[in-house]
Amino acid sequence: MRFQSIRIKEGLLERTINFSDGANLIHSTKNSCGKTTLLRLLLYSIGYNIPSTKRMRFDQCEVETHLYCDALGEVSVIRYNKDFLELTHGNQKSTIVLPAQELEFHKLLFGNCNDDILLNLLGTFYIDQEKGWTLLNRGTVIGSIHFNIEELIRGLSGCNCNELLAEENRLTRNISKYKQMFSIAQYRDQVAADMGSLAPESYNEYATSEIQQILFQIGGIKRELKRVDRALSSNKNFRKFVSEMNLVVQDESGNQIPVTEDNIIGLNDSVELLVSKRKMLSFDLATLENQLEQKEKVKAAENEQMSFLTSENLAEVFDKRIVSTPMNSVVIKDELDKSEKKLKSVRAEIRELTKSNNAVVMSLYTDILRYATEMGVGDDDTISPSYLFTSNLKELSGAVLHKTVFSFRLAYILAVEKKLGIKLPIILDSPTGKEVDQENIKMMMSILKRDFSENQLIIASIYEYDFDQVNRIEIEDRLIPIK
Amino acid sequence: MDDEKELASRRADQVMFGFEFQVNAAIILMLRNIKSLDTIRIEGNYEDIELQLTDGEKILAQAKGVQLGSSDFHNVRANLKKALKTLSEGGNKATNVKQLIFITNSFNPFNDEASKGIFSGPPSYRTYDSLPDSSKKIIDDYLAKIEHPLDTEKLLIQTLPFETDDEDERYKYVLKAVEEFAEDLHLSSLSMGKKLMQAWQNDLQRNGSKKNAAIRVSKKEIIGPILVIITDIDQTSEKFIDHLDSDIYDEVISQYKGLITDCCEKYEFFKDILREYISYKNGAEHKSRMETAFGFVDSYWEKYTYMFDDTGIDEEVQEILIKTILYNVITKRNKIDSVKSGVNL
Repeated sequence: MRFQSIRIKEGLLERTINFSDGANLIHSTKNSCGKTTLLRLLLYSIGYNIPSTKRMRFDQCEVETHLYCDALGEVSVIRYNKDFLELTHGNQKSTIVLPAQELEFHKLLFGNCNDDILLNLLGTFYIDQEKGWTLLNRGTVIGSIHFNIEELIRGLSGCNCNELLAEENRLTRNISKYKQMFSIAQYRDQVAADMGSLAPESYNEYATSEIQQILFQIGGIKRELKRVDRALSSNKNFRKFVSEMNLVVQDESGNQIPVTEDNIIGLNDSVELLVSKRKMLSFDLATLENQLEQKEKVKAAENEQMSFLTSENLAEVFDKRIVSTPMNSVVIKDELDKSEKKLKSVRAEIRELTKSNNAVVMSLYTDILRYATEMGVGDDDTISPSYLFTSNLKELSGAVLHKTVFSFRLAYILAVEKKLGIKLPIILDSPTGKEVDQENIKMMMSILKRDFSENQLIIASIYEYDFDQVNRIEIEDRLIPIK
Repeated sequence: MDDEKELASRRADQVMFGFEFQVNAAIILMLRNIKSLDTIRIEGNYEDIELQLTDGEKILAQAKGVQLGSSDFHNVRANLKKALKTLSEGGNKATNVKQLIFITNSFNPFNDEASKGIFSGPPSYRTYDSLPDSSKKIIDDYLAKIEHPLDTEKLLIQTLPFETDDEDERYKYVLKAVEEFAEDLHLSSLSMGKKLMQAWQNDLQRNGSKKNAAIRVSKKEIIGPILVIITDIDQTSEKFIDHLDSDIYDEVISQYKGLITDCCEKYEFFKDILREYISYKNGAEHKSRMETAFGFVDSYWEKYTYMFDDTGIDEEVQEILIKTILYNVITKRNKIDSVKSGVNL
């Protein structure tokens, strides 16, 4: 996939930027001019939920991108706001609603239907200036978009763990609930022990429950009223539409009959029926609201009387309520332990299934090892296949982390390309980090030139890079200059 | 001071009771005349209850409710005298008056031993001619003192037992009349009578509280609540449910009631079903109405599965949903037509 051009319209201002198929350098002499904004807009234009930058609100921009996709050929995409975009492919135009159809759109764009690959794709070819250079195998790519190596591997190897993942999700949610319940149950036990038997709240509780029931009924009627109003307005609009059409029909004997709201079968009946329904519901609502008012008055009077006898504060009320709630801390703890045990085994099973896909793991490992060795950050003694799944990033820092991340990302791109048969663009935001010297940068760029010459390269930086041919996109004070 | 307060409160109770009786008496009169009724008004220009008939004639009624209708008769003659006076005035002022009715809940509206037996049971209707002589004489004596007395040929004395604070007891004859009316229209539902009675009580009460006497309740408005009740999805025929033969019918209906109701109520949606059904019905003349409806539902439901594309709703559920929607759209039409023709609307 290659970006050919982008047109950004922000209010009255507009700028079109063309990209070459090879290396593109988005350059400015100083920071905060709009380089990152441009990179992010490229991704935003193809449907990703990318956060705006300080200087530009994306949802107020219109962004049009022309792309070459291996799967579709040349396409253009216009994103009008955060909710939808328009895809033009040949003579066909289609509207994509976001984020609901984001995945469906990316399936078209990247020519692949595997959710696990698509959901992790951005993390392979885009390195954000803030979090990107520390993202090795799990974490945030940008905004709410995440990357997870296990998922990517499962996607690349066609391993389906959906049921296990759903189970994992369910167990995680349950464990979180059980933990809360257990903590409340412990508190409840303590309160019960401290206070002995607590007097039930008798009348007050009863009145509250009655009021809640009335409120529940009121809620139901209000919802039904809303529904009736919608249906009524739809029928009335239709009636108006028909009467304004001035249609005339002819029956079998040649009589011409003007079409009016009165001779359309069922139309007026349906309006009248809804009007009656509305009237009946309104009366029910009024009756219930009246009941509610009465109950609340009685309860308020009762509360006032009670306040002379007792001065319950919120904490005491809470304690009384909690004691009257049936909760058994032993049973809850038991359920919690069982769920945690089950979660552990489900996770182990997922991990096992992921890692057992040796072909993909080995291919990734080989590429990572090759690049890491070339950049001097490891060899086969220090990097084993299980290192792919490491959670220990603390031992890596500075230039070592930077280059390790780079090795991983390049390996991911190669793995995805092997599977999808497409060339991904490589988008790097500020590859020259604070602790990375020019020699390291040179090394990184030479790898790109050598092994990724067919990939479109888009780099945003305040530095210069040594490429034979580079399309320089110069940004001065602002991404879209004010003319 | 307290005595005055108590007296005022008793008077207020009596007024409230009287108005409630008036509303319920209006329901009784309305149902008795439903076929020829055009509009009804509580607290009209001429009388407590005014019925305008479709042929241009009017029925005027004076309603008098007393709190102890079965035992306290000390004021009934005064009530009768007053009623005859206002009915005479109304009968003279209004044009085309067909009937003048005095309707009360008293078990002994003449305080007369001879007619006591006639009125102390269930609701009764007596023309002037069918009254015992002693009661006729009471009427005659009162009318003799009125300058332009009413025509006794048009007079009807009617009673409606209506007593106690227990609603079931108080409304039992009103409810019975409503249920009989529903039965005449071949509408059967356990809860229908009560719902309908309450709806009419509310409508007429509201009408009576409107100052402008020109605001009347039309037959169309009276019929509205019946149509709402009988077209509710919960009233779907048992035979149709048996025909569907599905274990999950109840579950589907409870989950998707709003959706089904919406489809049956929005014209833009149901017009296509109705059009297709009319064509289908024309080609199935030899079949019964039920067979035609079932035949249509079974043959056409698959055509509407597109509505549920991409909804993720299970196919079995879709089938029940669509069939129930189709059946309710077409039977709703039949039900509305049948009620309307039953009341000459």
